[in-house]
Amino acid sequence: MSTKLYNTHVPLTPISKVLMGIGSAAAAITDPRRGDMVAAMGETTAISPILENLRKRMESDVTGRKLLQNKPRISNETINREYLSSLPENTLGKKYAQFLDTLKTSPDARPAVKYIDNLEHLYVMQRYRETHDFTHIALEQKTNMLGEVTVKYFEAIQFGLPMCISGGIFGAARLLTKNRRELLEINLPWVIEQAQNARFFLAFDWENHFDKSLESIQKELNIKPL
Amino acid sequence: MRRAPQILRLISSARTSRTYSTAQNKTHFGFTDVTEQEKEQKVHDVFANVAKKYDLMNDAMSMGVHRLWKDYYVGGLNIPYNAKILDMAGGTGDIAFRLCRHSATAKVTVSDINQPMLDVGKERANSEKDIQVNRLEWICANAEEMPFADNTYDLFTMSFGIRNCTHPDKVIQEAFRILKPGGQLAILEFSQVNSALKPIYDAYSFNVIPVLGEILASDRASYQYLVESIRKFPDQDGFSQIIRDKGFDNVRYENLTFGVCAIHKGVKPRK
Repeated sequence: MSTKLYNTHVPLTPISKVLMGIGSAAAAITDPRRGDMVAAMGETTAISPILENLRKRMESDVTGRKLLQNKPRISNETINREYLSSLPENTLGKKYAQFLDTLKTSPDARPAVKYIDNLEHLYVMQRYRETHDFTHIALEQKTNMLGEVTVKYFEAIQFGLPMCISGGIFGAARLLTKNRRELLEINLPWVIEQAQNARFFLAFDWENHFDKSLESIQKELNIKPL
Repeated sequence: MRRAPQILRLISSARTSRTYSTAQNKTHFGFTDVTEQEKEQKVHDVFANVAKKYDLMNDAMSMGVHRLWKDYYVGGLNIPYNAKILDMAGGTGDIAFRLCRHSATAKVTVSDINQPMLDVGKERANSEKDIQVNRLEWICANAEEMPFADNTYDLFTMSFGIRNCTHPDKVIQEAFRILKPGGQLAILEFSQVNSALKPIYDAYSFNVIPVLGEILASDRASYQYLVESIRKFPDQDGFSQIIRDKGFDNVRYENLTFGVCAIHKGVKPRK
């Protein structure tokens, strides 16, 4: 068992990690509102080879490399809500401010990463968690069950995180019939194509583009809206 | 198959120094060193968080066995007619209810340093149909300084509470004071398991229990504290000696489940 590498670090023994992975998955499927269990499952199943692969892909992208060097965070400290709200209607920043207002939440409301035992991988996981909201906005998917599952499929294809893959599968299983049909006939075919053609979302520096229109960002990321 | 060193790494290391109290007002909170004031606050916080899910976690961690331990503990008590019993650290009422069922005439003072635990106990008492609530009184108090008069009680019980006290010896001393001459002391607490089973017990404690705490109660830290505090408490003979030192006669103990826990008993001498 390693020593604490960062403030919120909880080093787990290999057995504990396995048990945590299984238990948190069971808890998250039973009660998807338990954000802490969804987060725990994401971390304990994101094993080193997967995170290392993501890190390498970020590094081979010019913007991604800068992100890995500077490690910028999306938090209450680094995000100025007032500035974002003051931006014009169709900009990424304005949409993000509205997103947070509607959900009555803030960037800090996401659980802190606990179970990653490597500082470089820690940033990759943290970045994934902090930019998930931007993925929602870029894909124009709401945070209802259908939208979440659609985003999970996108992330599963682009990132390959086990939590996204199983979240997509099990989340889809929980959908009502009419939503499931919409998912299978409309959302899925669309999002699969987007995931394959779009830029690598984890290497994108969202925070430098708040003043741009959503349309121009989607062009830059090579996303065609549904 | 993995080789032996890797297996040992898998089941992790547990520091097992078992001294419990040192000089300079420093003590331990599990494996962390804290001042004595800090310990009391930290223990309070642990149980305030734990109160609601306490019973669920007890069942999950011990796979229901804690019920058998408590049944055996209360069943082995010799409760005099109309006895006045003090159940210390009695929180959610597990022992108090068993005492009421075991003796038709005894009256029980349920005392705990933690009000949320007592509140859970009071709620449970009202919903248990066979408990006459007028035989129970609920008092929030510190076991090291009990607000009860000398020579008052016939029986002092304490189940899975004494290892959390900053000074267990003070608790025993107070128990001696408030008991009538001839009164009985009976304490159920985690103890040191048979050494042949220690590796499995440690593996289970450190790998499974905190994870259960995180999944069922969103609280890994409180259950990490729990398993660490068990190892810091004196072993069976060490605890017997403390009880003898405080003046009790006929001090003996009995192991349950290979020493996972033990029942220590003693009698206050008649003058």
